[in-house]
Amino acid sequence: MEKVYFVADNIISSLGFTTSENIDAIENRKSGINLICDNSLSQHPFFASKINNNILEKEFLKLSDSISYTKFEKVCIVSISKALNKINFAYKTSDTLFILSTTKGNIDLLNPLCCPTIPRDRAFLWKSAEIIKEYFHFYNSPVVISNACISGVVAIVTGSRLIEQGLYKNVIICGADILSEFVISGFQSFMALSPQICKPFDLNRNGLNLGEGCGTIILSNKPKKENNIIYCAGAITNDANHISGPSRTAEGLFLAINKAIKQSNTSLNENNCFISAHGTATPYNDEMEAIAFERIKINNFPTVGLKGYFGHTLGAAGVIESIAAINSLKSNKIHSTLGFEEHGVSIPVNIVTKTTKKENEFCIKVASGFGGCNATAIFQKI
Amino acid sequence: MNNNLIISKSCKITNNTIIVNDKLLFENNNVPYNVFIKNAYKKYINNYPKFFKMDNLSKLGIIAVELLSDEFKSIDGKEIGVVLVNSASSLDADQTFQKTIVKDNYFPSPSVFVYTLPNIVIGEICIKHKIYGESSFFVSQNFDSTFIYNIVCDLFSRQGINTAIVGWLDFIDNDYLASLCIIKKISQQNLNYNEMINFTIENLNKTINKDI
Amino acid sequence: MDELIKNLKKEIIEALNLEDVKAEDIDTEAPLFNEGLGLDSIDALELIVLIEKKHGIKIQSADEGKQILYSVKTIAEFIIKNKK
Repeated sequence: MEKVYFVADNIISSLGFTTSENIDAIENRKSGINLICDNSLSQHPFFASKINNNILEKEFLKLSDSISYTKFEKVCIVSISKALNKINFAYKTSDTLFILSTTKGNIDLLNPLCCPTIPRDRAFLWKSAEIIKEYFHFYNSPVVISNACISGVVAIVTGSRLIEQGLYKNVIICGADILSEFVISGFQSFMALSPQICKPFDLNRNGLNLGEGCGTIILSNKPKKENNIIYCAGAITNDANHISGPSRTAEGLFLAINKAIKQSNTSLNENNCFISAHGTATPYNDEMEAIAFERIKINNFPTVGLKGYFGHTLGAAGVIESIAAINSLKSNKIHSTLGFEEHGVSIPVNIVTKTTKKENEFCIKVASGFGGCNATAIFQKI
Repeated sequence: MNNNLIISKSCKITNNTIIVNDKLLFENNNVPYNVFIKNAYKKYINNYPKFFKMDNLSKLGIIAVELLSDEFKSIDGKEIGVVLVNSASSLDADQTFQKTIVKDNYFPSPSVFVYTLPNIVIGEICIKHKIYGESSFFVSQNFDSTFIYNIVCDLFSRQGINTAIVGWLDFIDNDYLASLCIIKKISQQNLNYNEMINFTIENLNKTINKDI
Repeated sequence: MDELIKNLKKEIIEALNLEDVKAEDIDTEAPLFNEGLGLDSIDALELIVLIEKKHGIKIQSADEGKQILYSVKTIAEFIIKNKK
């Protein structure tokens, strides 16, 4: 079985256009969430994190002067470009696979007034993925993973398994979602949005913030010279309970974490492992996660939730948050859970509240999503 | 390929017909999809009122899987996987939701919004059949048998799955196709299957993509 | 009030896709959630949309909704109280 190395990455969010800009902001507890007043997105102002459009346009113009790309595609192309600048192997060959992780892609195209020069068929996720593939001249047809909020972690697990089996040498994973009236309206109809910056695991948490973001991770079967992080294990499960509410016994997430830990064949404890939680800050999600952690007896592991910085970036979340987790392992620092002030779940959990120097060997990344799906990936520093 | 995996059953639903293992079981010509699928529900399920809250894609998936469910009824739900693919993602439900957010008639519908993700049909299948195992939804222009074959083989060999629901499930602009099959691991001694179809890329392709 | 309750039952059946349920089958005072019709959280949110769309009254939070949506009767009383 081949080892899977994380060899390059990039984050684009309201906090910046490089991984280091984003990590710097996190280390300084700077949130990327702001009050957005934009009638094209919502009739009422709402808290969310939004990518700076002007900078995005400037960055994209460095790569292409074509006007025939959507915002979603531009964000992906800029992010993938920046990640590719950090590697030196050939990627236009058959042994490199491109995986796109997104929940809604170019969903704004369903509004006929939006982007009138873009053909409507770009609302098909595979079509948008093809456009990105053609830009980079990737060899293989792109794989598109659309599994709600766990898409990013599923992409990492899927890509890693393919390398482990020797089917590909490299996998380029790009997870992205943009803010849209479509998605904002939907979450508003769910009454799931917080009227303030979100507070993961906090007693007074009252909903999530949406976020715009893109994360690119490049996986390879060849290590870098030093500071290597590998994919250790992973699992994807379903609660089999309800399509939008998480299982009250955290059945699916419990099974996923349990399975991944067993598969990793390692000994994890609160001194060598931290958890990168999903932590959307809805009353039910965070409680469910705490229950899952307790059932596996990992609720004393230092736990980090990053949605106070990025908001919930949906298809990008699993990728962006994994990049931050990998950075934590490399730099021996754990990040704090911005927004958390007072313990607010029924189980004792060990929420990290300030950026802390801490050497860890492992990170358990978890995610849960609509449809009752759950995913876990374990990363290891070697 | 001796991986002890077989395709044990297949189901195809399209053009108001339901075909299982290449035999026509049900048809309801000259009626719209919602009438066809309701009649199929009455015939094959009839005791699951949640069906009527589902979107078109989920209804299609639930009926198709019901017709295959004998194959996994007695299997531990943790060991069943679901791998589905389509080209339209949830665009059918997306278009329905978009109509609830037009400027002059802005009443976003939560019961529609919840279906604006393609993996929700997997959720519905898992809820009905108590399936907890590995599941993924891929979006691509066509069903890539080689790619899906590799994904599924790995589920059996390294991810603790011993039965999988696999195939294509698409609904867009009243055009729909469900083409699903059950993959099972069999022991060497199992001789009950007279016409065993080995799980190979070619056979998966023939099963899913036939007549498309 | 009776007319409102009768129409409300029809609106609920339509909005929530309650197939095979007739207005006469719905007990006006029975709880809508957990027992009775066994509605869930998404149904509750959809009823909130229904009340705004058909009766012009906006319910601001899910908690506020819990009390109002207890039964058809409590919904009807809420509508009568708040209708402009």
